Amino acid sequence: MPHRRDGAHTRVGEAPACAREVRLWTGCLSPGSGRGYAGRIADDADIAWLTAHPLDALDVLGRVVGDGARSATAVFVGTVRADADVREVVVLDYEAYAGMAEREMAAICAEAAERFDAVCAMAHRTGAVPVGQPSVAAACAAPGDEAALDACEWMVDRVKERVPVWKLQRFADGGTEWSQGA
Amino acid sequence: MSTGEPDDLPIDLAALMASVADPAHGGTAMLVHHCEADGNGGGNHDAAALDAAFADAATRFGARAAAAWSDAPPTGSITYAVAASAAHRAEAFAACRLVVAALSA
Repeated sequence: MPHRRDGAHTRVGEAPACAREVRLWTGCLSPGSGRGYAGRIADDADIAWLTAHPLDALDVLGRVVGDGARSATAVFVGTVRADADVREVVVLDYEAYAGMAEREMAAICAEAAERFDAVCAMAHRTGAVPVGQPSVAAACAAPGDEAALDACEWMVDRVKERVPVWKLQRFADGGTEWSQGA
Repeated sequence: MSTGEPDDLPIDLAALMASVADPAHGGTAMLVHHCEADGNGGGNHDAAALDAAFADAATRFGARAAAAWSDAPPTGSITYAVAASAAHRAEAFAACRLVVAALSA
């Protein structure tokens, strides 16, 4: 293992046989002030929001970074994928019951904060999202790696169950189909 | 980016996520660990164990994973980060946990 003090290393695993490399992410993490929900009253729009613009997962992550008591931060990004094995999707059109969706997302952040001693934030896309682009992002800062990952996964599972968001799948063959969830 | 050689640059989380992106993958999980006040988390990592974890993540979860770390980060900066993508979120989280365990052991 190469070693030099203060050096940063990166190691990338081999892609599974089916994988195709594509660059989707740009930008850098800009750590915020840990503005996410941590068992206190916060501005819901600051921690849980819908957007019709491209999602920046690192912006969501930056909203929970900055609390020295929580050394681990997990982020999950849900991306529109090309499900070619079934019927090729080209775009997902997301519609949300806006006020209720954001309230429910904020409530999920609050519940995760209490359950995992975490600081949490999340964002969800509305409108047309092409294949390869993010549709949902959730981030949690917690005292340890496992707690951060557990909190983040718990939040994403609750989003799928509770947040009133629907998607219209637009297929390459011109067909469409509605379904619920991110 | 794939060499594991130190590059003297801070860990680039955007690049780390980009390195595991795949149009067939619908979920990416990333864990970022910051250096604590006692310096916990820095130091050497076992490249063989990391490569084994990558292979395990690919075999068990169809996942693609990447890791980045710093040797002696100052307090508050990133000690290590792991990103993993897979077709579905459960597999992405599982793969991320697997590589984090290998990296932080």
